[in-house]
Amino acid sequence: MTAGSSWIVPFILLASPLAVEMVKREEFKTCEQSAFCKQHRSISVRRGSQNHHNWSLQEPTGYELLANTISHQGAVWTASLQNSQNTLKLNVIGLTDSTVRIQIDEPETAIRKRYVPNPSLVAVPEELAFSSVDNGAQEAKIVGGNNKVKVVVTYKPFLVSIFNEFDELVAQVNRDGKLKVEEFRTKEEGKEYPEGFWEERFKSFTDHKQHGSSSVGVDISFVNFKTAYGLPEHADAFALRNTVGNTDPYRLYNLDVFEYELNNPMALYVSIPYILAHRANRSVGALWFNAAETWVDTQSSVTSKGLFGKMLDKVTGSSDNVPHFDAHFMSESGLVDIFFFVGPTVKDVQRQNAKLTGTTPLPPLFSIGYHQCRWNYNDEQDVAAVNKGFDDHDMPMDVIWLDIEHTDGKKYFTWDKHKFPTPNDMVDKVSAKGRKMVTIVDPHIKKDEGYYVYKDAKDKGLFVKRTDGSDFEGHCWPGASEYLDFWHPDTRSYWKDQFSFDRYSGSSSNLHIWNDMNEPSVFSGPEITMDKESIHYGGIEHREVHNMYGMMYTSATFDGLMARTEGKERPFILSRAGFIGTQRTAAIWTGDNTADWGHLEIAAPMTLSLSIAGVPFVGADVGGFFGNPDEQLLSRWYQTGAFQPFFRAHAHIDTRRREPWLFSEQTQGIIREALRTRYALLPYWYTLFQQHTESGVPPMRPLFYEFENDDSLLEEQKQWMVGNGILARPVVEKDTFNVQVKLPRGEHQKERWYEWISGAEVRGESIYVDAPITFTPVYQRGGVIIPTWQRIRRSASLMKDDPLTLFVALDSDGNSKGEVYLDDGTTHEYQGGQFVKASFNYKTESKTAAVLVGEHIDGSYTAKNWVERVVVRGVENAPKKVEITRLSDPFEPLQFSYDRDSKVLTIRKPEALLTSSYKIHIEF
Amino acid sequence: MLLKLLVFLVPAAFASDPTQRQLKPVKGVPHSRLHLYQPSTTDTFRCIDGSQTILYSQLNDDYCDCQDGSDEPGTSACGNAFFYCSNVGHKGNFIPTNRVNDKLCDCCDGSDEYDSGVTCPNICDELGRAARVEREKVANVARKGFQKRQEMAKEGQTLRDSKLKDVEPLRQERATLEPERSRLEQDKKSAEEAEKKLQDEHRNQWEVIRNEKKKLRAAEWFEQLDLDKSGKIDREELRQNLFLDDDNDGFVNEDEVKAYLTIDEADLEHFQSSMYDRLKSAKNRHLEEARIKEEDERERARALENAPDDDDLLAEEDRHEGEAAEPINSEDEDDKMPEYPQEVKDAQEKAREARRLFDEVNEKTGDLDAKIREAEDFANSDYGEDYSWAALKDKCFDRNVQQYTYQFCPFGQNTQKDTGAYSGTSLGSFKNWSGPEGNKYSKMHFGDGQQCWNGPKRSTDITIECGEENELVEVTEPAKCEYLFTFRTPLACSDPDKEVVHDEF
Repeated sequence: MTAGSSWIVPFILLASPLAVEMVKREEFKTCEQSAFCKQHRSISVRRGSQNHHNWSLQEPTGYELLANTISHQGAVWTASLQNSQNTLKLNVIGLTDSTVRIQIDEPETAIRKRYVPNPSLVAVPEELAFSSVDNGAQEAKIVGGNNKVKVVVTYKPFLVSIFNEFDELVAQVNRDGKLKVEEFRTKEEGKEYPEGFWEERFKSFTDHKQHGSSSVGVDISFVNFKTAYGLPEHADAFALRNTVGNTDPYRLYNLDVFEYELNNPMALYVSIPYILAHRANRSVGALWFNAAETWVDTQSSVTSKGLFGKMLDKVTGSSDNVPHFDAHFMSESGLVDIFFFVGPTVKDVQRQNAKLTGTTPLPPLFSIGYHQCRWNYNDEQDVAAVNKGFDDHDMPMDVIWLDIEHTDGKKYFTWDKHKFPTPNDMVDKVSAKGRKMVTIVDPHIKKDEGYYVYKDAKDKGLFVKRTDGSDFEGHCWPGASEYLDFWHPDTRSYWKDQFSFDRYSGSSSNLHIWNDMNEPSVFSGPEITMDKESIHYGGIEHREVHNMYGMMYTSATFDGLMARTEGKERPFILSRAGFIGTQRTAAIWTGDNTADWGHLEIAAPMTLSLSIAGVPFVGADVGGFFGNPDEQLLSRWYQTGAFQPFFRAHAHIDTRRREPWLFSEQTQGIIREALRTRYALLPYWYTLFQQHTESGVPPMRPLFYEFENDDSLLEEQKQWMVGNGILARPVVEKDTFNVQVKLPRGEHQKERWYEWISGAEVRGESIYVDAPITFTPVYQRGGVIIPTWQRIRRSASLMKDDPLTLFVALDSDGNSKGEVYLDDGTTHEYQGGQFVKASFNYKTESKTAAVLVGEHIDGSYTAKNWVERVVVRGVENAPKKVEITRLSDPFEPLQFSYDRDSKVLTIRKPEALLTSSYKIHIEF
Repeated sequence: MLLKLLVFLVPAAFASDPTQRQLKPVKGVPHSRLHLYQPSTTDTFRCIDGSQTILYSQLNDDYCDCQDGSDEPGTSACGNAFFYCSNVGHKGNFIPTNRVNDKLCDCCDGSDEYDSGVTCPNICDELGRAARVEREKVANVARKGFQKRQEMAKEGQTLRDSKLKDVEPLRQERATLEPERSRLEQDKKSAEEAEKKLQDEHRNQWEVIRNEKKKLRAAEWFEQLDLDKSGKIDREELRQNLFLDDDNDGFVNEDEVKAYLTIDEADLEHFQSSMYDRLKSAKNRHLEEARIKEEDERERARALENAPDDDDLLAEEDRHEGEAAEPINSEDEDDKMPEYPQEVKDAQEKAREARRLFDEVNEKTGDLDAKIREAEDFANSDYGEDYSWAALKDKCFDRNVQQYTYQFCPFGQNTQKDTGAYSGTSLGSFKNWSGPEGNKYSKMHFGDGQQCWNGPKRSTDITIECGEENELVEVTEPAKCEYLFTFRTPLACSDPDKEVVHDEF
């Protein structure tokens, strides 16, 4: 939900009853209205470039490195930087796995320590001593410990150049000379300060900067890259646009935006200051490690090769022009602190990022099923009826959600006594069908002496403070509210306790948690959020940490959900706000979208952007939160949501009811089919999530992740990959029943593709496909084996022991392979080996023989699952016979059928357990 | 996906008459359908849709062979099949086979979980007993309700009959009144025509006189304006009249004059026909503006001087009004038509009387028309198959839910109000019966209620159930401003002793 829903809207509607424009833009700052953004943006580039504009430009900041200050020990190389304004300290830190950190801070003499958002990292970054350091007269050459990354620091003008393992220049810092760091100050009477230095006004709010303006900024250039991605969350295209000269910079400042607009760089609920640059077979990533409000100006351009000097030794290509993607990062506080992941491939970059910021732990199986939400399911009868409705209409569903109205007066952890008198019974009845429930718990605490959480937090001093030391107060759903300070260790331990089953009455291990409004949303605050001057534990100013509030909140909730079963069961948490590291504790949804086609279409670029930035468990509200979708839109949205990681329908309280059975027979059929398609693929999704925990690679991937060499796919955002084997191109356009699908030919021009449902091979690199309302264009890639469940039951947990059907799609050599991971679906016992991992390898050995080798490759879980059917796609001829051998057993014949038209071979009932190894021999 | 090795097999069609021999039981299949699942002489099974023939051993072998799912009624292998629980002691029923061996007990006899490691107790006897008690209870309610319904149907029919019965004398009375009504209407028409004719004559005579007077006044003014007494008024002469200063800049310019004098100079005739009226109204306007301006100034002065001597101000006001009003008044006198002569007054009186007589009888017939229409509406409204719902017309039923009182008025308007409050919010008025085909009277729809803020117009759907009394038993609001009522009434009860019990499908 959003702030505007009931508190802001009356005002908006009264002010302009005929307004068509949705978002109230004037509620939110532009760069021009933000003192530090305006200042940093006005710094001109160092070299003559065609990109000058008419605003008043400042000169480059002119830093140089003082060679006599260089020192180096192990993995840390240090020196001082200086310009006419101040002196700074530079650290170059070598880390494991082709990662290097460039840090620029105030010197030790600083009057105050600058905030570093360490809690967002998975652990202290693992340093790796440099293998060589050569401090020359003009520049220093620093080579990483594994020789896979090199940093060249040029002294004057100060410039950092980053090279990958092939010694290719991939990134530069401060090439445009935009490095700027404002030190913390003590106000001196009579001295003149720039505008907005101590105080800044926006609308009726005044922000007092206790320590002065402490902004930082620098330019990062991704050399030899035209295209870059990331900086979620924006309702914008997947590939980053040129903001310079076109729009405001991308803004990263977690905000509760009412009815957000599409295709612009305005801030939303999540801020992940991360950019991935990609070109054929090469990638580089940069993580801007800063939790303060951040703006990023981006631009893709070309520059004459000569200007890169000898740095470009390894840049090949005959053209004299070198493309580069430039990003000017500007933050209100914190450090210049950049992690570079030099790849060299996109999956390497993803792993390097994951190593540092973590991955999403294996989600409980139910959470990758289908979620049914509404603001609000009104009472226990309503919940029971919805629960039953899915069974009556034979539609699988895993979770029923309760929004804020379930509480007693928006006091979280309490229940409305009239509507929800027996929550335990209610949850038990839902979980009797293998399902779960989720309740909402927000970080604003109703100011009410009779509310135990408020009273406890007040007594213990756990709320965020004002500058005068009193508790910060703002308006949110319950009216006057206070906000818990999750930097305070006592808050974190108190919060953890609140989720224990005896403390949270009505809760059980079948009840999971939704953390909303955690930007934090403050209806009465500037830009609907907390005043930046507010104080957190240890004297931290809110401005220093704003973007990580939501993450600090969900991580505390996560600790609580872990503690309530003593770490036995896996928590599930959905969060709206997020930051670096959010993926370790929460799934993210794209917030309060709208039931229109534009919002359906933007769901893919938004979730792709989060995925590549390290947050893989993502989705958009199916149907659209605001407004009433018509049947066509709803049908297409279910078809789309079924192929995005987090699959939840949700609706605003003012909308009509939209449980699937309230629509026409045809629409019900489409929704049922979309749900069944999703549930059939659960073993595949589950395996992808497990693989993510190891590799960091997200289940939902842009096409270029799988076809790294193909530069024609860089802008693609209507189709995506689920894992390496499924390409989805759901229809997201109104009244469109024929769509273009690009089926990449791959590096060797011989990829094969099969229509997912029929199994027939599809030829052509760019095809037009009929997509009537009942059809979703989805394709299986040759060479990949997809494990599925074909017995669609009422919920995922009821299917977990079911047999598998393998879809084997042959590549152009007649081979295919895949893997499946399964476990109990709910506990952490997999960490002690209670899981099964099995591989499938189909090989065409000769014209007359092929074999499918199934192997139990890991885990000691006694999985009951067996292979009930093998469907081989792209088989040229009908086999003569099919036999199976298990261990040393004799050959045992298997029945099969072959469809000449679609060239699909179906092998009947091999009855092979996943925990066993076996071979299926096919003789032609 | 036909198995090649099976193609030659003969379908199981010519097995002997199933009733003649012991039928082989098949898991998930009710006795009534067992004959479809018997082995052929060659020990095969033919899918019920006839699409394929498979080995009999492949029936219920936990692998889906038939496209219609018919080979796996007893396992979860096919996604489109049904499993029969015999539930001895209770009611047999079909469940989707995806519920077989899913660790949840769906059949009361536990037969669906024969291979999932879950033991489901047989609770059919218990449930059966409870169901029989419940059925009997429901039947009792229905029996009593049905009796009441029959009474109410009588009541409704009586009501309709009486409405329809009353309507005939009304129609007759209406018919008797009609000749008088049309005669009086005719009388009225002719009296009014006579009245109008005489009035027009009088007015026309006066118009002639008035025009003469106006010409004289125009000539008088012409004299005054014709400063050089040339018998013509030119622009220069006209410019001397300050009241023509339309833009209030203190003097009369060429354009302002041209607006009134479009030719170079005007003789008396031109003045009378084309200028006099416009000049007169310009002058009056000017005087009026001057008056208002002065009043405003006085108002301001009064405010400034903080209410000084009232008498002075009043006196001044009077004086000014006297001055300004004079020329207008004297001319207005001429615009008043003299009183009608007696002859006209007589005609007016006659017309008035004719109108009164007609109105009297017309009111009576209108009244009768309304009554007839109401009765006809009543007769044409849909009060259920047996007219029993007519008994609830104009009746309302309340239910209190927390701080609200909800009111259901079957053919009127539903409301929600704060308990104890005087007026409420409309939740819609009766639109139609909205039950499904064959059961039309099981639901009502009310629409076009009060508009919701940021939402639709309020509406209510009413589910109607059988009960002994008329009672609003449940009120919910599943979506904002869309209400759902459950109304129990004898009117939804049918004769339980006539109802057919369906046990299997």
